[in-house]
Amino acid sequence: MNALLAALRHPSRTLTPEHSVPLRVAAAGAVCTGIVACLLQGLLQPWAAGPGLALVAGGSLWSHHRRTRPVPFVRAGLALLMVGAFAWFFAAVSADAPAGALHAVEAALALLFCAMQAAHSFDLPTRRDLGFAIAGSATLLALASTQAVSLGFGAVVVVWAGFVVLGLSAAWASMAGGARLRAGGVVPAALAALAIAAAILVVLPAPSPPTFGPAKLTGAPGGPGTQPSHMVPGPAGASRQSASSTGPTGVGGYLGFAGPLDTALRAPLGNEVVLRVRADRPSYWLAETFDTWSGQSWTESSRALRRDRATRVSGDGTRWQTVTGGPPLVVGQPPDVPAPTAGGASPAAQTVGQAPGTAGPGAPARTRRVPPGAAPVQSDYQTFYLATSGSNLVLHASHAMAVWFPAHRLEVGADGTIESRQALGAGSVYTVLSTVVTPTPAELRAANGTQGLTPDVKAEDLLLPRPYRRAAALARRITAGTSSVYGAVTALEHWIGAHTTYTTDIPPLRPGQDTVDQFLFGARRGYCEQISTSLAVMLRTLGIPAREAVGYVPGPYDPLTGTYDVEAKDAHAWVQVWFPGYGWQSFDPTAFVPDATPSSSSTLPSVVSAALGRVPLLPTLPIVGLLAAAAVLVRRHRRRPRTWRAAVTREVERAARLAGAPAHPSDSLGTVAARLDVVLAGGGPGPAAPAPAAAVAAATERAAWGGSEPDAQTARRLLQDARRLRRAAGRARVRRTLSRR
Amino acid sequence: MRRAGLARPRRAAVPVAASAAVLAVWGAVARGSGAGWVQTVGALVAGLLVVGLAGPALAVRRVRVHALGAPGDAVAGSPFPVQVAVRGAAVLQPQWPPGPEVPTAGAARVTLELRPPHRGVLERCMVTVSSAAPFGLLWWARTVCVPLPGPVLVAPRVGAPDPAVIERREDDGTEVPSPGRGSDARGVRPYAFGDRRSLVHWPATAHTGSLMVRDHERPAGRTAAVRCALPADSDAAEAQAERVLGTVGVLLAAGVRVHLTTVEEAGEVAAPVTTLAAAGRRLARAVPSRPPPPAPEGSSSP
Repeated sequence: MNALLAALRHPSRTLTPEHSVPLRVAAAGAVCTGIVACLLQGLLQPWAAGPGLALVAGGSLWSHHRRTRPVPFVRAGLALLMVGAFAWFFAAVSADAPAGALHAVEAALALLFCAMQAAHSFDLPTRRDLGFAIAGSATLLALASTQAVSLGFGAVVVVWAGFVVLGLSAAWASMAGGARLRAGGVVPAALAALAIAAAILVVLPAPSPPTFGPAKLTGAPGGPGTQPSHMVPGPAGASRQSASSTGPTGVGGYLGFAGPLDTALRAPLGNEVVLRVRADRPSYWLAETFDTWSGQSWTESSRALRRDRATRVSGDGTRWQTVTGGPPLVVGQPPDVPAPTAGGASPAAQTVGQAPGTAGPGAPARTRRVPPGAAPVQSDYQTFYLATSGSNLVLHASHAMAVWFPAHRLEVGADGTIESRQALGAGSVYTVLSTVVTPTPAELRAANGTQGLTPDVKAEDLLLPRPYRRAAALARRITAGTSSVYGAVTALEHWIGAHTTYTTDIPPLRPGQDTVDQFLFGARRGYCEQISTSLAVMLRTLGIPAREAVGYVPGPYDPLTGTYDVEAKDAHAWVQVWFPGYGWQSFDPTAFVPDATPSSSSTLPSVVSAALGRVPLLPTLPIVGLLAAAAVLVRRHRRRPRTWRAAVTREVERAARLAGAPAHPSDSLGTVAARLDVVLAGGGPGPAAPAPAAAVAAATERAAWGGSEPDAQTARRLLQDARRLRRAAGRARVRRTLSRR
Repeated sequence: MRRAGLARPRRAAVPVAASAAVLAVWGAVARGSGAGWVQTVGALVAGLLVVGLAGPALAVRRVRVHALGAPGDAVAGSPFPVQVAVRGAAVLQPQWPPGPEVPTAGAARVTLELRPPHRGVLERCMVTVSSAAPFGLLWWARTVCVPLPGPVLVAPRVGAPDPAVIERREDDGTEVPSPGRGSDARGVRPYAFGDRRSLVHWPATAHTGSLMVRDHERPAGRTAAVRCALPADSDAAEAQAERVLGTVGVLLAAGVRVHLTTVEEAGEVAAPVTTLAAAGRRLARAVPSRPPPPAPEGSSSP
């Protein structure tokens, strides 16, 4: 108890003023960096950040000036200001930030922290106060880092860390009585902290997603709630095969987002990042679906309906509806998950989270009871950060329910496609809440039929422009041993994977040429649109409702930004199949299809180069540079001469080597020096005639073996003479080289 | 330098708890936000905290302290300087004998101020080396034993003289002896108040024109034998040594030859002392002994 009381009393004792200028500079720099970080992330407006920076700088100067003469009542005044700031914050949060509007809270919080730091900078007389300022800067940076999705934020982090390391080191130097800051003490400590941070990042999994990345999409079936199990198996990565990775960088634009999906050709797609997605789990982010197949291209029938307002279906048969209001915009209802077939009388084994603020008439309930034994239903938040201008399609995972969107109006199709009235430019940000239903293969095998589909939708999803007799015969032959829709789909997927190859290096189809016939009975080489179309058509020939879906597969996960960097080449097409009770379930036959040129991508160098390509350059290069510099410094430090005699010997030997008379292991220093004198004398007088090497060597040997240690000044002079000898030998070598030419 | 202890953190509860709280909050924010930069910055903060909390343990182990110079004599309760060479930034605080804290400020040589509380022979000192390098977040300390270049003899404080000795001497009718009371004349000197009339040297008075008296040699045989028998109890021994030194001081001031007998580690030492510093050195080396034999006639024992 006494120790606790002492610890409590300890902070309130009177402390001595802090005189360390580097510590004050570092504290002010760290705080200013935090404010700048919030400004860059849009949490602070310039009208707040500018005065904040000025106040921090001015307050720090004023605190330093008055550190030994504190002004009475300043602290009380600042405390009152803080109370006022807190009151404003709580009022702003409770009035302007309704539940769910997190962005309003973050902005207010950033403003509050900025105001606190600005006020606190006027009361920094002691070392402890400066430490609090440095710690406070971390809160600003933490706030900014929650919003950062770019690697450029690393520059801010590096600057802030530099200020913090400088400040902490200066604090210790001050504690040690005013010792000078030495790079030899600061750099190793900073490197150690960096190494520990890297180890922590390596050891600890990313908080979201916790256990998997994009590669998990091709992992074992039935994975833990990532994708529907029927999406995952396959020998090749869907992301890799979704498009050409060799297309010219800078060319984006997936043809499937422009309207009809023409499968006759595939434009080369670039490697540039088109959007970043922060999501609970990797998904196939759906842009739109197509239900009408013409033999070479897909179209969406409801899109035609929407273009012709006069024929727009209304009432229960609405194909497109306009959603207004928000945020959020409620665009869907939770899917109806079938009750368990046996048992499961007890309620509520699982709840589905809903977006705050979505409750209300017509909105899904905040939580939904799911009977035990039913398919797992999970909520999935995704935030899309558009890096380039794109179409007006709102991407989302699986079944979208609510959208936080920078507009108050969205068009929602019956197929789940969501469109904005205006195109989405670079920098647009929106968040989607989806409900992901992940039935097991056994559950899907039990779900057969077309229950739940309206007749017109069912007709469109079974419609074919012609009978496709060969494809139908092939499909029947492949699925002869299956008794369920799921079995048929997987059998067809495996057949496609075994008998076709993936490539984008094929000529476009001729006008009128059928994509499915060409792919299945011709070259059997193609890309994702042709592969998925072939599956969809074969399923339709079997009477199974299927449709084409396009969107993006997750790009590489960046653990620094916590986002999936989706590149243009990640645009992809896959198939959706109707399962009663589970709705449209996605299948990706492309994941089963091997590359046509496997040697180019399966070799070890390409794998290594691909892995290296995923390493972020911004934090990696400085770290590697620092480590290399530290290694060089350590090596030089370890190899440095321990005594002045060793230093002189090394310089003389270097001079001899430069002069072309290298020292042999059996040579004494005097011998080497005598030889060096001869060589240097033959080379002519240099600009600064050094002392004879023999004299330097003699004095050094006397000190080494004769016990006549000279004073420090003489030793220093001898070392300088040895260095002059080395420089003279270097000049002589240059002259020799030039004279030969 | 010989190691005398492992490095231990000082007042670690608050920094460690605060660091743990910071990391816990940061972890919660990272998990809640799902932002990779939060985790990255949190890992960086964790790295800084780990280095700041554990780094001093390494730093304090690397600090080396060597004593370069120290005086040969010291007095209990009075500070004396010890110059030490330090490698590494640290804060030094003499633990035994105690002394004030001295930050090295990166200097290679600092001077410690030791204040021995008791007499004795000081051959080494214990110094607490503290460091919070490199970030000043947590102090770690360890105690090292620093051998002194030579033994420092710490004399006891000069205590009050033994009144029994003084009273016994006055009871014997032997006043405090002073120069000029012997039988052999060694010259003349000017008259001083109190000189006997028979000491007036008239020829010199006539020659100089002022009253001159004969100056005699110091009376022979005015020697005091002082035996210092220290008890086993350290406090009592310290008090006894102080009393002996005070008594010796009075005797020396009175011009008495003092023959001091002490017991040292090697055995009993009996030797005259002529200065208070010499007596202090003898008493610094003195160790407790058995009760001394009866004092011979004409000697005194405090």
